[in-house]
Amino acid sequence: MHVDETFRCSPDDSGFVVSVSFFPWSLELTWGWRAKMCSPISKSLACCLPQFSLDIVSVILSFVAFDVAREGREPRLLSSFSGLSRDQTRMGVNDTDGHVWIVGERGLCVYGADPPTLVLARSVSEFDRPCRGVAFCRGKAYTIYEGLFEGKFYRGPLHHVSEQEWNDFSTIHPRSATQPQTTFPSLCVFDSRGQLQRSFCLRMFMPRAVAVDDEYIYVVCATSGRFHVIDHNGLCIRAIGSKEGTTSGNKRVQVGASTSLGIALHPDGRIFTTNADAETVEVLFLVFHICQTSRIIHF
Amino acid sequence: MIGLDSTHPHSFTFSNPRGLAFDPVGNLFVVDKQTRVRVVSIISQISQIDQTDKTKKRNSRNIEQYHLLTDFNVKESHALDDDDDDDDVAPVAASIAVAPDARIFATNGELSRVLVFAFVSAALS
Repeated sequence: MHVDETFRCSPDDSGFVVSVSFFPWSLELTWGWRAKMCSPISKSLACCLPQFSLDIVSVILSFVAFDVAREGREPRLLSSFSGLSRDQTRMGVNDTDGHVWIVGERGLCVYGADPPTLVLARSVSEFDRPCRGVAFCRGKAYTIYEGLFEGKFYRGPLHHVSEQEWNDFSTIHPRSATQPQTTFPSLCVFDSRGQLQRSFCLRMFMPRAVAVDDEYIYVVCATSGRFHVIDHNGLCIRAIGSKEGTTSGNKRVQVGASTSLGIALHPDGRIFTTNADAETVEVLFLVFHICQTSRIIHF
Repeated sequence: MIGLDSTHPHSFTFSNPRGLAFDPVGNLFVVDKQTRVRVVSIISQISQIDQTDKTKKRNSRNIEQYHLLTDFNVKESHALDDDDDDDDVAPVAASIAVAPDARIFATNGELSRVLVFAFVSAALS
């Protein structure tokens, strides 16, 4: 809330208008030969009281507007629906048709917007791996799927890792270099009806959250605490860690539980990521600025 | 006002976040592991800074302010909840998403339900 006091001359210079607004209230006093004509009713009132007029109508209307605004700022429970299982950990809403996609260990479910009825269900057996996140861009769903990590082996038909790919990856992540027959996580793109359009490999382990805009796909990785900036052809532009994101360099991204990572895009293009350690309360929000034109990431 | 992280001008601390989402006007919704949702308004101001180095460039910098608008719990009995006994509840799943029409979908793993909320910010009204 803010208080704004305005003192000004009336438009016709026939008096003064004293306006005091205490958001969202406003009170306006008009003194002079003519009252401020802000509404037809107050105009008629001004005709009756040409010397001095308190704009009562305006005050009443402001109170009504305040009631509406205050009620709107308090969240109201509209409805609820069941069908959610405990292993379904991520959710997204299609930005075009409003359908709700819920993903998890055993697959994904899509619910209609209003009323929320199940319109599509897929089990994990169709893709062999658990789904870890979903995001939408222009009506398309981008889902990320688990790969192999520390003994858990999800063997899938997609993106079987070649020896050369594994050698390249193990050079970057030496402590993970134990399994030659691993599968990298993958990202799948679906249309609004749930038809698979394309998929590509994610060169990381344990992807946990995904966000999409027109230029890039952003995936948060739990093992490294980094998030990867990937273009829509699957090419990783850059992987960003916490040390790059902090000015002092002494903050580390906490590698937490499987549901502790999140990412969201502000309407102006900024990226917000959460990172929570499962053991501690301290949580860090990192806000990264991405210069879309030069494709250089600024902090 | 939410505390800004002193080590990073573009970060702030929050307790146990699990999922986050923005509504169409830029309000940030954060759900924590106790399924409490906090609604944060982000106000950005761009300030011009004259560098004193040799380049003499004139740079702009975003200064964000984060204001907690309201918070509520993902429960069916009442949307607004002021009690502080949420530490007893630890649902495994807590995520949040915002529909294009600004409806808020939040999961409550303990209830095995998805709850739908309406929240209209001052900017929308």
